[in-house]
Amino acid sequence: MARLPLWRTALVLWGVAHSAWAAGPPVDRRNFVACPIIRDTKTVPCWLSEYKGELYYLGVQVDFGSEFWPPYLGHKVLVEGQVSDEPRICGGVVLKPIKISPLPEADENCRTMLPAEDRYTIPFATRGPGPNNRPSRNGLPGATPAPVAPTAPTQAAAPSGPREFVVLYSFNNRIWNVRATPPMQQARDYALATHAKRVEVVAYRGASLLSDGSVYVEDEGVAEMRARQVGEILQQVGLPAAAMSVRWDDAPQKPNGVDDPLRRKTVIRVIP
Amino acid sequence: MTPMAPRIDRPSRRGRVRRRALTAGLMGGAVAYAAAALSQSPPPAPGAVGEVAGHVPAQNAQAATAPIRSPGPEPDPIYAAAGRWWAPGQAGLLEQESAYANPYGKLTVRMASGPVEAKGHPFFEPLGANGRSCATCHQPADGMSVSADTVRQRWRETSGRDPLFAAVDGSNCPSLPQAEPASHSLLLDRGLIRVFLPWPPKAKDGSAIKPEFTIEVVRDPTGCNTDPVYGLRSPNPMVSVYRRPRPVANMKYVVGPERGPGSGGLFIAKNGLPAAMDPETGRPVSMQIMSDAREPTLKTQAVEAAITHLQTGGKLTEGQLKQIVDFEMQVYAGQTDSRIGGSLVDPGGPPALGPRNLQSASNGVLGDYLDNPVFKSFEMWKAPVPGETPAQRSFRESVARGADVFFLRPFWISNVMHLNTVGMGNPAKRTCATCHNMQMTGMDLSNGWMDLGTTNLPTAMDPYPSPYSPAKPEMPLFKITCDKSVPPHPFYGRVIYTQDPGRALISGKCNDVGAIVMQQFRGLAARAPYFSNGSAKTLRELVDFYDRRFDIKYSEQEKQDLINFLSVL
Repeated sequence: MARLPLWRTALVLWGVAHSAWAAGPPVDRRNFVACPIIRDTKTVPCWLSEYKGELYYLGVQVDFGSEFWPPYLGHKVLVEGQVSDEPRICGGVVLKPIKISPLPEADENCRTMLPAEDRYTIPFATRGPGPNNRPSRNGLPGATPAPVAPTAPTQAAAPSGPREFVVLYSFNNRIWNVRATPPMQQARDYALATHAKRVEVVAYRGASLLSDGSVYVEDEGVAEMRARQVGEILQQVGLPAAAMSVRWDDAPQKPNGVDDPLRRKTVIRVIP
Repeated sequence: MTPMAPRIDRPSRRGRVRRRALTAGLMGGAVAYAAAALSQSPPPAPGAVGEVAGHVPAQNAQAATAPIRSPGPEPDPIYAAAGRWWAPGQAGLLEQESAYANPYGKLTVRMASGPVEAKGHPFFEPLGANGRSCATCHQPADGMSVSADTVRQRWRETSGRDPLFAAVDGSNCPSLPQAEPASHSLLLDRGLIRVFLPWPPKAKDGSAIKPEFTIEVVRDPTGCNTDPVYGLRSPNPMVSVYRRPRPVANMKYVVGPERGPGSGGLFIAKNGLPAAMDPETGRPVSMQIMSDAREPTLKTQAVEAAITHLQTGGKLTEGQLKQIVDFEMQVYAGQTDSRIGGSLVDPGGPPALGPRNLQSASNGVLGDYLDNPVFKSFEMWKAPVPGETPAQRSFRESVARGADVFFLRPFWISNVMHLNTVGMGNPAKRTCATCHNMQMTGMDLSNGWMDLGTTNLPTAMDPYPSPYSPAKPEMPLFKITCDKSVPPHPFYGRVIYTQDPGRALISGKCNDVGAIVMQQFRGLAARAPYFSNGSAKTLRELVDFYDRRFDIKYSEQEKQDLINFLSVL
């Protein structure tokens, strides 16, 4: 079995060295690496970042189920977003849609916490800093969480053609949180329901075209790490090793500055 | 290529995908119910009935090596008369409800299925070589755990001959002179039992897991991690950590229903990895029984505990295991009287208090809602009730305020692995109830483990070295160095100093170092000290730890209100 390559600091390949990427992303894109900034408010904190003298709004703290997962102080963040025409929030230009990736290596320069000011409010926050202020789940006090019936291979889904399930990642990362579980669950369920003959796992190494024209490339070896991890997980949740193939492509995907987050991925192809 | 190895295809140097079979596979095995649906059957599930988890054979070997000091246990007439200490093999009836005094009042233990005769019951009988029973460390009077006060009393009363002080894990190390109290200092001072785990970690099929980090012993005040027979460099390499016995009560909240996301809780909420399976049913389990989640069910926990703590040398019978699990599932424990506040379970009082409410309430309920709090309502204690004494009134008001501090008072939660990394951001502005969100117990309804900083430096309670202080470190200290092939720990980097690597001793993962499964809040008054490493000797020290850890800046009033609140649970 091949040894994993050493984990290395992300490589910046300057656009001049890669003429195909040198054009930069569209003008309304803001793709950059910078320190996140947290600004407190009377309710929940909002997250910002500064790029070329402008403050950008990334999102607010919500919870587990939110689409936006805030970054970490103590780490730089890769921001990949589009400038919207919405009013500023917390003083920042709103990026929407946005994808953020806390970078793995620590950076102690990124420790800015701004106090609450009356002029910055978050009226749309779906919950405050404390307990949820909506009715408890299912609208009933004491309601239990979502049904927890045991998962048995269902016969409901009739066997049909090959299907793909995609696990997406933040930059330079593998799975270590719950966001990646839906596609793996769906792939597993489909494979069991269709008595799949083969399950192919292919992972990719991404790259991000930044607004300054440079390219931020994921570490060598990240695709292998992703592929092996997804392969292991699928086996642990019930897919036999003999039906699986695990591959990875360690060549960085060509970035365009728009949908680069979608290319940091592992594709699970289930073939009934 | 082994029969069950997946095909692994590596890219060429240019990154072009090409296929090649390898001789080694990824993780083997699959759960039986899943395999049945596919045409190709996997091998039998490791850890299935009749087997033990992968780490247990090594533990068994060490347990068999440890000397047996105590003679067969004799019921202690002093304790038996007091009805407080359940000695192994002692005859007697556990009444359906028994109240036991503690420093804050009284705790009541309830047998939901009716009185239980201890004589002949495997939970109370000495089943192994050292004369202990399960009840030795899970005493009803101590909320089904064992307090350090009780440990010290037991030492005084028996001159250290009680099986509680068995060399295998009731001493700092089996190689120490067992008659000396200093050899049992962690049990006497902190109520800690030695937990010995093989290194490198073992998968459930017994194969070695390649850890993502190296471990070095920096400090070894107990001598056990550097011991030639019991240590990390011994022929049976073992890491010794020291942990509090968890309470065996209110277990319906601990074992289920499945906690994680995905249909049937197939994944662990905190890290997105597959949940452990019940080897008998093939269903995912809560993974909330043990501090490192290493045993999936009460039954497998009992198997391991008998081997390691009781030195049985092998598995208990199916009948014994069933009796133990059945007993554990029907025990409820909660504080019922306050020394100052009087009865906690009067009609019209707080609806979450006492063991009867614990028995009747639903499990698996998320309590992090304003309309459905974790420990339900204490509002009725904010207004006077006829007949209350001034002291009662004052105490009850304080408890009600403490419930609000617990539930509503925000602070910045930072650098908690598997909390700040799971959608909250770092830091997150939230309250105690964000993590302690399961109704009735204050456990976390999202399964998994997190690193609060109780065992990792710099936040773990550890004495400052000083020539002017007599305080000496009691706990071992390990240096963890994370491999460069994996991302660094987001909050510690690649080097972590810890008293107990926690879940990482099982998973081998860098980001699990110091991560521990949260435990329940019930019966706290009866079972000091607190945290898995017993580092908070009192409820005040527990509150102070959080105050320092997150720079909360609680007022003295808030601290006392929180203590009073915790004392009635």
